[in-house]
Amino acid sequence: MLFPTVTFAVFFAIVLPLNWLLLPRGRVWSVFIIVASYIFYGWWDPRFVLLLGGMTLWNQLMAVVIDRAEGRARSARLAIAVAGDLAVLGYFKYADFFLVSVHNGFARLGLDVGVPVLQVTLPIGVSFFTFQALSYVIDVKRGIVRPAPLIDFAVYLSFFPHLIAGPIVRARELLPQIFGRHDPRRVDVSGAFFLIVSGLFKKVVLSDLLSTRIVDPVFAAPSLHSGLETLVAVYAYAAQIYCDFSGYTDIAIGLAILLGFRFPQNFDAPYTAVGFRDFWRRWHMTLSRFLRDYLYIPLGGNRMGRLRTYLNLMATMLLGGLWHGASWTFVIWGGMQGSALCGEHLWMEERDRRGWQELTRSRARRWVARLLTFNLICLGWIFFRAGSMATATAVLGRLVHGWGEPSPLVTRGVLAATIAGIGVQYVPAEWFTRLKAAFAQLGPVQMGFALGLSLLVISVLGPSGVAPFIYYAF
Amino acid sequence: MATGPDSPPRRQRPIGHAVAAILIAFAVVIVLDADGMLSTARQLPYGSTRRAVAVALMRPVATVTDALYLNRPVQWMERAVGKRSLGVSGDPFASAPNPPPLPPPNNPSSGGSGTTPVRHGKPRLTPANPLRILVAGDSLAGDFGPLLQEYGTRTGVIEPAGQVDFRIGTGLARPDVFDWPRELREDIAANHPNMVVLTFGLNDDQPMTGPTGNYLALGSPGWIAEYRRRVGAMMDIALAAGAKVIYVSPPLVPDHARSARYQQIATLIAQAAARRGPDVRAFNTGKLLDPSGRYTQFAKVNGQLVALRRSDGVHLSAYADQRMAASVLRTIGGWYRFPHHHIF
Repeated sequence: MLFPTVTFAVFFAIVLPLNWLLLPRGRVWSVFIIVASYIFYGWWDPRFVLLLGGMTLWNQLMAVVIDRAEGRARSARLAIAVAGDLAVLGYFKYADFFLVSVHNGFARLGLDVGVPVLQVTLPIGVSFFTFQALSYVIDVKRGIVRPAPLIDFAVYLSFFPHLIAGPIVRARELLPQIFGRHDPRRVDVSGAFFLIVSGLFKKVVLSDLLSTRIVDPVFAAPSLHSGLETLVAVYAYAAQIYCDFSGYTDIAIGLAILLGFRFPQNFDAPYTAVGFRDFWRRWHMTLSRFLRDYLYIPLGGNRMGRLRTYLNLMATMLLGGLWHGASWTFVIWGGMQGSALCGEHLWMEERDRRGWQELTRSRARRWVARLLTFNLICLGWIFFRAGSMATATAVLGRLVHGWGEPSPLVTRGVLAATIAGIGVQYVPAEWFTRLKAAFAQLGPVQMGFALGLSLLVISVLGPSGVAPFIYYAF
Repeated sequence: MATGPDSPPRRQRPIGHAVAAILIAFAVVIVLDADGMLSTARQLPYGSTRRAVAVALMRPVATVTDALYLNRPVQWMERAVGKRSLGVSGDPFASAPNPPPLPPPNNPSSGGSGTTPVRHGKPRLTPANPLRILVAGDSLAGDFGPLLQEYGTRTGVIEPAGQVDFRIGTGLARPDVFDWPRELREDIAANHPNMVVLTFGLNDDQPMTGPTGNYLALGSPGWIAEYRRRVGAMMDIALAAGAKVIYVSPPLVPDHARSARYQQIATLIAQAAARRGPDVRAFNTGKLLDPSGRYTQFAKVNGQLVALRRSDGVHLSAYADQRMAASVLRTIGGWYRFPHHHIF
């Protein structure tokens, strides 16, 4: 099910009251929310429900055996658990990529080794729930969480607001909420509605409009488009991917609030970042902290010398790139992020050594840093969006050579949506706080009217049909 | 915009307020946009209980709100932003011109795999007399259409007739969702193509209703005859405007049953094309990408394995798009001479 559809609206309207009726009844509620989540997931392809169920059983089993072990046995059992999870992810997401790469490597040497490919279809959301399962077994091994009862772990892994595209919620964040009390008299209803409406607006109006009007046509055939169209398409994609993914996250967080749960924040005005470290603290924050806590720090982080720090950064970002998809364009994108982070570290070390001032001290310099960071991020998005290296190269080529040609795709609507998608991140937070506070003053009837009218406006302004969220594919 | 739950204290409310607000919001949407909701209900698969219930609920509401003019504000807003009703009731395929007579028996058959028999005396395209290609259809058109236009542009004698007109999730089975005959007529009137490339079928493996509103089960003889008629009607719209037509069938997918239905659609396209003579060709995507007749995700090209599908297993990869575009261009080469050495 896609969030911005009537089908989901009806589904949620049924689930919401039942959720609150059953919440005081512990196990009954757990069974109910698991069934609801599996219906939500199985709507695409019921076969994948088996995968989700299998992952649940495997990780619960391993959490229990890890918890019972002592000393080195814990690490050994964790290794088995992690290997199992990565094997699932590897099979569905990377097996063919690896096999094809091996085959083609030999083919370049003139050897036809006839590597058999598996032809596997990627189950939706597998990257997200695999990472959540990993966080659970690792945290059990670290002693941060105790193994939960199977049914609670099943709720944690399958809970539908986060199931398909995050945020990546950790066991230590969600499990205590499942065990805890939920007060139906104290729910942040207005905050939830605000998030849901803003998420729908970002997705249905801004993201889909930019996708259909300029981004898809330009990236499908770059050489047909002028340099100006290509440049606007790159900025438009920056706006699109932010609106699409943060829109999804807003809706997910809002739905969770209405169901009585809190999810971590996933975006914090990422295009206002004054550097790449800053950017990764603001963009897909739950993935960043997952990579930091479960990959970068276990690799040694910055505790094992300068060279090793850079290697760890590169490895983390390369794997982070590969997490988004089995393609060399994602590897290059990850490599660009890693290189930029290493470069920033180097610069900061040099600056500290020489006693220079921080670049971002003055307002003007901060803007220079922002613009530089944003444009480098956009450069990376070209590889992220392009389906192949050839497309990425063609887009870059048009940015250099395609000027002076007509640009019919650069319309006022496209420019307005691009500016809105990026500019909204520069709107002072207090403005939103005030707007939310005003919304919170409304009674339920007024709030219902406001919600209904907002949905109508979004429906009228959005293009017909809803494209899947970009991060569904990851 | 900072997203996520933030810290400032806000009014905490009973969840009953949320349920009430949601119900009121539903009521507002249903009353003010009953037409849209009825249209959404009608888009559910024919014959399904969900559709029957949803339509039965929404139809009287739409009638009442129309009588009370409650649907006007949304209609005004839609008009203000240039939006219009996308679907149509009745039979939009009926107004297509009559099909031309059967072709002579030696008419060359469609270039199913993209290979086209060379014909002598083909007219040469020139910059002064270019071929204008319009590409329209479902998401497949959005995948390879821009590339076809790009390759055409490289010849210097083939130019795009407008942007590729593709609509995700549409087809010929459900004119109530999207009225493609009208859209194609408007595209042709606006862009004056002399070559129309159509792609439909990906979303058409579902029941339909016939011209009299009778239910047609997927794959039934009635469904087959009706779908062939609709395919033919689309071809006739382009032919009536003096354009040649290449009609592209859907690719195979991992689901065998669905692939079989797509192969049936490809057969119907081929039959409709054959009936309309030399100016229409059916392009069989399945034969191009999966010549063995079985779905495959990878092709061997010069010893290297290259992906033909994206990770969802359905949509085409960049390489498959290139291959499709080049093959369709070759099909055009069956009609016209043009420089193409730097493409193939």
